[in-house]
Amino acid sequence: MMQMLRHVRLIAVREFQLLLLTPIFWVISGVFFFASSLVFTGLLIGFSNPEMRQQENITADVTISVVQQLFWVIHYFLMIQIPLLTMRSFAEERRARASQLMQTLPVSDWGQVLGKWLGSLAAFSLYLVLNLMFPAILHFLSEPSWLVIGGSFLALFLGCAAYLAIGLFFSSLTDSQVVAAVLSYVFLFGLMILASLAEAFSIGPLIEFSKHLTILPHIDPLLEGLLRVEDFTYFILLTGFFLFLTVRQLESQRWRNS
Amino acid sequence: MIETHQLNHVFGTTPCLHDLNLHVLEGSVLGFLGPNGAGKTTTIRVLTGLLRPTSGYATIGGFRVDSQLDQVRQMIGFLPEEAPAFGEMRLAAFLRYIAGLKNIPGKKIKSEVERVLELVDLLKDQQRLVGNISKGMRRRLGIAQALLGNPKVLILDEPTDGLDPTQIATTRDLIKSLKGNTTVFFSTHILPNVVQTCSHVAILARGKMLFQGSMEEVEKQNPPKLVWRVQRSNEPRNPLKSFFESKQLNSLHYGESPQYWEAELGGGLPSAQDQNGLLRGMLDSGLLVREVFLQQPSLEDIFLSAVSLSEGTEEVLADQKARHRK
Repeated sequence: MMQMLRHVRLIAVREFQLLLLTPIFWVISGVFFFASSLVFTGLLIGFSNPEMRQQENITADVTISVVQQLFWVIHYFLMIQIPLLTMRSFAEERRARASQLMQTLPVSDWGQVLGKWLGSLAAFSLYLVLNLMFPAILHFLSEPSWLVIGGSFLALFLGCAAYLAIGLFFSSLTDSQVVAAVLSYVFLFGLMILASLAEAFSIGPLIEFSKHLTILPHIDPLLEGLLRVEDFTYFILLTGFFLFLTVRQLESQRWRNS
Repeated sequence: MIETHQLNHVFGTTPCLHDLNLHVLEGSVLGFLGPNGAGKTTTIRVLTGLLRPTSGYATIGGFRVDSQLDQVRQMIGFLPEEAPAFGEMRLAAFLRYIAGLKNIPGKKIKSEVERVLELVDLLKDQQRLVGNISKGMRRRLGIAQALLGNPKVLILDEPTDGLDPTQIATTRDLIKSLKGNTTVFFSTHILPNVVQTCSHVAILARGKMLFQGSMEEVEKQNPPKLVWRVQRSNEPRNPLKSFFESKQLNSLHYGESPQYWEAELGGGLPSAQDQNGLLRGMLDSGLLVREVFLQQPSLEDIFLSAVSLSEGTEEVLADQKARHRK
């Protein structure tokens, strides 16, 4: 166990450093942070203008009108950002034949997967912390509810953890980074609209079940600062399930290389 | 220390390994020889747990590779055929990272990394980025990471590939120095690598084991040949052929050059008396003897003859000869 923890730490640190050294991480993060800033500015202008507020039916609560809306957009941005950065994880390692060496070292598959996931999560947490700048600015201008902000931030963190696990899984499936990213997008998009699809096609028994699987009914309450056990469980299970699938994929790769 | 039992592997419908039984003694250095496509890398992938064979199994240090992979991984140092790319890391940092993953205690990592860097002559380059070094340096770095932690078994896939002659000599010396303490299994198609470094050799062609044994056994099984060379004049055919046939002696091989006719006599050396008799006979027949000498067959001769006999085709022989000429 101690050995595994040591491996996880080493791989996580390397993954974290690798992400921070990769220009694409800064470019993508920069672009989306800039986009978030624009959204924040727009929301702030809308909120501070009483006429526009009335016209757009914007509530007078700054936390709901600005913070929640902003975090909702950031959440969507994360869904776009994450596959772009996880796509290289296993795919690139396999293409560069580094995975052969890793698979002959005394490192368990769980050690590898958890290390990569934690390293990426640490890098994205850094990005998320940067996004706290927006409510901090708001704090000087108004009185947002830090409890709701905390809940929203937790929602982003949980979403991030789950989407990273999904991205890592699809990266472990293929040598091609592009294919890994496309598969991740298709899956995440499918998971977003699963319930709507079931409803649209009137697949009776699946409608209720798909509501439990769809992301939106679980992320929305969290973004609103509503901390429900079922939503926590959903994201923890989603993360665990995809980490498990990635481990199984690494294991099966060994026996399928024929 | 390393054993395979009736190992078979089929890629799709193409058989790649056929009933491979390999035995590598503890502390020995075994050169795993074979032409391209013989199944060397496939065997190595099975031994390192990267590939599950279609049937049969392999053991390292008594542990089965398929079911006790964790124990096997603790014992081996492995150099893959293609040196892995960790381009963004510095040489020393890369080795520290691998040392950590190999469970080398934190306090010993620095000295261990310096030791292996010195062994492969990369100590002065330790701060360079892996992505910026030459192919040969990357190969040596691969050997260094395999040596980390003094593994009981070292599995090297073409270790001298991409190295210059000086580096090849250094690598051979390094492998030779491990004999006795570490079991080294390395694949190569470069015969001098085996001659100069190995205590044992195994020859593989089209997935079949043609020979395995110690270098002494190789010599015993392939006794020296007596080579006769006579002055060439205007004879249309090799006069040695009719001479030996008249004496009912089987020559292994007849050859010629612009200056002489040649016959290699194998199948047990004649006594000194018989040799004198043959010499007298040749002189009486008007043959002008230029040279008579004993020739120990080289590993290359043995390899080529084993492979060509096994294949029953001239293709492999021609391929090997062409490579040798290069």
